[in-house]
Amino acid sequence: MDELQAIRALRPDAEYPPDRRLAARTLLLSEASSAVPDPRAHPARPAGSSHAARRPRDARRRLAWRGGLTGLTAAAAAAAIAVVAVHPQESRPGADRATVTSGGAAQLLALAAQTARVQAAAVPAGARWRVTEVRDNSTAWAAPQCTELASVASGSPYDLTEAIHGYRACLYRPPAALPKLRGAKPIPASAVPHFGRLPSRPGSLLAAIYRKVRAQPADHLPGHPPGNVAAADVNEAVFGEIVMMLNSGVTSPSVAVQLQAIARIPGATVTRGARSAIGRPGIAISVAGSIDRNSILLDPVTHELIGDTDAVKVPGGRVITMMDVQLWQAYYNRDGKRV
Amino acid sequence: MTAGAAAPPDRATCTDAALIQLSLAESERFATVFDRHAAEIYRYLAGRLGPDVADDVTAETFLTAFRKRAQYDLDRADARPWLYGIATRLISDHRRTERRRARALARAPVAGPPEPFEDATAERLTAERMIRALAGALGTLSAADRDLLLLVAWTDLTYGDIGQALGIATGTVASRLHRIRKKILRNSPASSRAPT
Repeated sequence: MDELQAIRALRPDAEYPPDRRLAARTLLLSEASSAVPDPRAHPARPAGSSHAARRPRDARRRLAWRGGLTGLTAAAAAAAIAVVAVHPQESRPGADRATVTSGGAAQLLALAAQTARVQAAAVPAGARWRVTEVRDNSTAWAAPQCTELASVASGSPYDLTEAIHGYRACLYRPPAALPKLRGAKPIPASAVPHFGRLPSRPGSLLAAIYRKVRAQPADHLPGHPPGNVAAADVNEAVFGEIVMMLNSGVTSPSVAVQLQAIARIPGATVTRGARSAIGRPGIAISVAGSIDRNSILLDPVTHELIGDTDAVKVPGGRVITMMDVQLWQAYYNRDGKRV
Repeated sequence: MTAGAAAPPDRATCTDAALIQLSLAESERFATVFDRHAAEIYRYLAGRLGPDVADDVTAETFLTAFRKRAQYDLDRADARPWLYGIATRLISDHRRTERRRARALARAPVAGPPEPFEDATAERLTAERMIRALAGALGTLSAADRDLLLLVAWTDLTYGDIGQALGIATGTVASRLHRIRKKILRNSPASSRAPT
């Protein structure tokens, strides 16, 4: 058996549940029934030609918000967030003076929330795009890798990212022009209603996320009976959910509420003297479960949220830290010119 | 006076491209594309994200495809590379979920169909260890590498199709796959020792 055959064996032979299939088909037909016929459809188009679909905004159909916050994941994780290594036992050079304490997280997060609120004013309105370059990194790799850029339409109700495909090289600094922006669609269709229904108060938000986490199945394992998240992992899972929300690039007022919610999670610890994978100093706030240790990193001076990391114990006693490093952030107009 | 509308093409013999073109005027025609490919796309997504998330992402894949159908290249009869490409881009919104899932797979015994005791040979046990190691390695790949590797391993798309899905050249698919396999072997000691 070679590695490709082994990977083929990992794919569960899952059948599309008939009720879910029917629901998806119904949703599609609902969208179809409200779509405006394309007037260019009737004359035969040359094969291979391309033009944008015309669809009225109010014809959009959203995915059902199943189980409260379930769909949040649909909006998450493509965002550009600087990420760091924070565990003393796995830290990189420069993190040797890290100290871990269990106090101070609430105060630090309050400062971070204040910063997030101030940052809201800095987000330009109008047809501008926030673009970041993200570098994937992991302690399991020989070298870091750059991946795609992410883009946000800052003038929209919620800032949500989508990858811009086609950029793979590490640019390290914002280019003067990004022509690929012209084809980038900024907002995942499923995302806005989820964020629109989020509680706007930290306590309510946290309660909703705890309800969701306690109800959701743990990591799916093919062939194993479903089970819920273990009690020892609930706080870490809640923290992870909020980190996903933070990664999704929602507007700064929402970020502030999410940071305040994190402050109420029991067991959050503070690691001072942490450094990011690109050497940026930070203060890590972490919540550990039985397997994962999730962290966010705050700038030690401005308390700006600069990233997150996920350190995982793997068989053999190793700890692998996975990171996404934000190399830069800049704003571009619709024509792909930096503003 | 016109000659009248042509009879609607037979759904069973119509290519995906023809259905998509028809759906520009008759939107409901797109449901046939769903009927043809939803189960396959769901299986791929369930493998990558787990069945719960796959429900939503499958629905979103076809909604996105429907909304972008006017951009479809009608020279391509088979819509599956296009659909896989959309699904893969939506998976990028779930990178964290997928990583957690890969790690969970690495920690758990690999479930498979029951087999007689005598078939549980050393070779099979070696294979199971290899699968677990690879599951963990999958979680540490970059998103772009994981996309390519799993489209190769979990679908019957050709390299050309995968290149179309990911927006890269066919030759790039082959060269990147070679690099990814080397990376996996490097990160999964068990796999490098396994018999092939």
